[in-house]
Amino acid sequence: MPTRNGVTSALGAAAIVLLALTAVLALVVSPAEVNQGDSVRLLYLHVPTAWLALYLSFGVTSLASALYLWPRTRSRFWDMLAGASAEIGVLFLGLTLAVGSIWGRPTWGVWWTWDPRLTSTAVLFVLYLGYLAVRGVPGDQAVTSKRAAVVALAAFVDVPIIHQSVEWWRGQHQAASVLDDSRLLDPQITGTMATTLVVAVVAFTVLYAWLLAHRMRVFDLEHRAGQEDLTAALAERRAEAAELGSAARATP
Amino acid sequence: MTHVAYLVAGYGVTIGAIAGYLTWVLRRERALVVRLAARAEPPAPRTGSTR
Repeated sequence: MPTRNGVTSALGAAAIVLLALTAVLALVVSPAEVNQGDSVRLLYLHVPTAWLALYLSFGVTSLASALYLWPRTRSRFWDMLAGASAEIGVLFLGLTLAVGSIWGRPTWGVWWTWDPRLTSTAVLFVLYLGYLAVRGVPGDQAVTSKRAAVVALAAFVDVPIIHQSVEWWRGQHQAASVLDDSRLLDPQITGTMATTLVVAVVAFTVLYAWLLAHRMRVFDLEHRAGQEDLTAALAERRAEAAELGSAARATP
Repeated sequence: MTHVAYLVAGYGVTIGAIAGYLTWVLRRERALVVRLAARAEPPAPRTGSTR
């Protein structure tokens, strides 16, 4: 059984090439910003990791969770997809917070501030950590999966709050440069900086697909190994019971 | 700290986290594949001396 196939190999190769291109564009080609200087180059990590975690990973998790909860579409595939996507989302949301903090120090003068955008993002991080903890609770798999799906959908309510937080409340975090609802066709970032950002977002999206394919395969293999463990344990118990039965019959 | 130090920290954390997670996933996948393949194979017949 190979651990990769043509699709995952192509995704992996594409992700590595695109990430390398992103690094060159972000660190060499793209210019420094007038006010922020070279620290603006952290933008090309901060925005793509936020896109990957908030909208892509948790969006897929919510959709898969809804499909799992709906009896007509319920299947193990949706549960695995939700779990794999959420795990990747938590990793990249952690990176969004970490890189944002590193960027905040030279830009704002602080590593952390209780700004509405930062606080609501930290809350989401904790919510999805809770989701992963619920998935890890031992017990009936179907019950655990249903509970986890409900938690995923409840946690996703925070995503539009995070998106709108820079509009609803006064804070330190800047307003949206690209995903500004009122200026979608006129973004506030242009030229090489815009190109670099687009390449970075595409690179992280391909990386997500690659990681997701492998993580789902691990879930599937774990399930199969668990089933085989159960079958082997049952066979062992049956053999023990048969041995005890024959020993009892042989005893006068 | 200079801006370069912040860049090194930001890019280092990101590359380290992605590489670490990918390594963990691929190792786990490989281990499970080997475990399942070993179970699927029938036990090899015993040959040679029975002493």
